[in-house]
Amino acid sequence: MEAESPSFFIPGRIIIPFNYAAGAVASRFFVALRDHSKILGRRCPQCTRVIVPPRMFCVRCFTPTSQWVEVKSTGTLVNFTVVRRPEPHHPLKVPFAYGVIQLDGADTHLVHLLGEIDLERIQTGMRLRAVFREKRVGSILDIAYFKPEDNEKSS
Amino acid sequence: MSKEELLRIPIKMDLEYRYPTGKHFTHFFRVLKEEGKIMALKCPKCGYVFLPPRPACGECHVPLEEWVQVSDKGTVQAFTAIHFKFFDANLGRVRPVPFGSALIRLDGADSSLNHYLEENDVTKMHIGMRVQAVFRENRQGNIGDILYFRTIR
Repeated sequence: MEAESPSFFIPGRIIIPFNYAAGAVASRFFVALRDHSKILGRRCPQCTRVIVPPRMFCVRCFTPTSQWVEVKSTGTLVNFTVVRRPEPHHPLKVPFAYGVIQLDGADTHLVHLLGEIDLERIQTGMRLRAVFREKRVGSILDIAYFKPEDNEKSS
Repeated sequence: MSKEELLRIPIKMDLEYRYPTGKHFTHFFRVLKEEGKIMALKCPKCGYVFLPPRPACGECHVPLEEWVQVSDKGTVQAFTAIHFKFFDANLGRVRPVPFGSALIRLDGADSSLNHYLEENDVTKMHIGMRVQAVFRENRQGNIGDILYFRTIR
């Protein structure tokens, strides 16, 4: 190795296959998504917040959530980031955007992909709608992405 | 609901990475690759010879700069045979089992190197057994340049 190359690099690779048991609450969430294209949340009996994605416990009150609530597939963009650097674990080719989305009827935020969107014109507060996949398998990616609601009106 | 469907979500994490070996290991791997020699670092204060090489002596708290060549022959300090399959990050796949693994003190070194043994039967291993490094033909500058340590009979 030449003097101008100060370091050796050791290539490494770790593949970890595993099954994650979704549990009772997340299973029902994914089944509703898969079979009915519905997004479900859980209500906390103490603070009355609707938590989406659903949790068995309210992390604020430490109270078990008590009730299933269907929320809308529309919502408001709370925050976002545009990913421009490719990494092997990304779900899409760069550039693409992640959004933090508050669905109508929910009191918490959901992180998901933004699609059919001009990456230079994303704004917090914009209205979004979930685009469901035709073939759903019981995964959070059964929602392909969220797209701006305005797209529908203009097209 | 009367009958809940419980899901198992399959996930396959595939992590590829490259890590830079830094100043000391780069020298160690360069000499290993180009000259087939195993180099160690000697403490200027207590004289302890570190293999694998370390940037500083943990006892004396002084930086190490004096490289010394150690032998490719050594003595087993501790040993085991691995029968449980697991993913080997250096290979990028599961290493075939069983294989022998040992802490080996090479002649001229004071610390021990963790490496594979040619022998994979624990009943044929013992502390104090003499072993010798077997080098890869096309050395690349990583610890895989030593394939394993063969038993000296």
